[in-house]
Amino acid sequence: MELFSLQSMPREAKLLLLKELGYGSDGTYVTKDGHQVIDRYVDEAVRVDNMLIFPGSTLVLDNNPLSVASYLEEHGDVF
Amino acid sequence: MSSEDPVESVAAGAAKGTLEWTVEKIASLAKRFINRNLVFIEDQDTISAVKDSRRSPEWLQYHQQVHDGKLRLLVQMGLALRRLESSPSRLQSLRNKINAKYGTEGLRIAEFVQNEALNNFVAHAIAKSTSPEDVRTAVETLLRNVDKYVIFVKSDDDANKKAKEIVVRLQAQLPKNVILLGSGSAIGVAVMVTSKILKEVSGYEVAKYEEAGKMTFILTRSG
Repeated sequence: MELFSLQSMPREAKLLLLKELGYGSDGTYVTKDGHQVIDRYVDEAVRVDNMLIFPGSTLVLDNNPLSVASYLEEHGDVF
Repeated sequence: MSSEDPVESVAAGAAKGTLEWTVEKIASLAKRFINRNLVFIEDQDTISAVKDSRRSPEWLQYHQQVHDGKLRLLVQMGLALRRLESSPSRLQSLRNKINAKYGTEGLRIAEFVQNEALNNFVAHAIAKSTSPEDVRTAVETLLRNVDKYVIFVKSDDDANKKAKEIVVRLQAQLPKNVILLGSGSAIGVAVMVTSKILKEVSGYEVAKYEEAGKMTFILTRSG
């Protein structure tokens, strides 16, 4: 599975990507149905400029090692 | 809600000649994601800190010994902390996240692993145990009790006072294993503390592990 870095993606493109995947933004944070998306592994709201998007009911997570490890523990080494 | 329409903005960008991020390309990326052909990350370093840890021989060893979900994550975070030691801001950021999620107890478990002391303890437990289940029990028990039975000795610790504190704990709780760690100028203090403990408490054997700038004493209750 390819890892695609969002680092070089302009903000507008990220917002469009989120829209394609059924998400939105309040300007800073990722939203779903008008509510901030909370990374369930670290209990923090996910910022558009520091997000990960993993498969499995389209998980949008905060970019940090604890969230990545938690995801891999739950889903296996899918990437 | 953002006041910008991302479709219009991206299309405008395309019209201005920035063809890299077209609406079509983003739709294509989204489709590849939905088809599970790619995942979106921010930076490779964060992914590598975790994946390199999970692929390491050290983790493959711990993977067999640690089954508890929370402990598994904290052990992996200890390995990730070690990989981030050359990047102080990222290291502190991860420490903050561990502390926020698991408290100081969780952070200490991760620090114990980061310090490479778990490595020595697993080798010790394997040598002393008679079955894989015993090893797993010893490792998970120690990790769950890091706050009580893993002592990071500091160079400015009073050796007599420290030893007395630990002796009281040993006599009251009779733990199977206690670990004392010292690094750099704290090694001498750790040696004194261990020596004083062994004079006061019977029934414990000591194993010493020494590596570059660090010393680990593992006290194990015999019998």
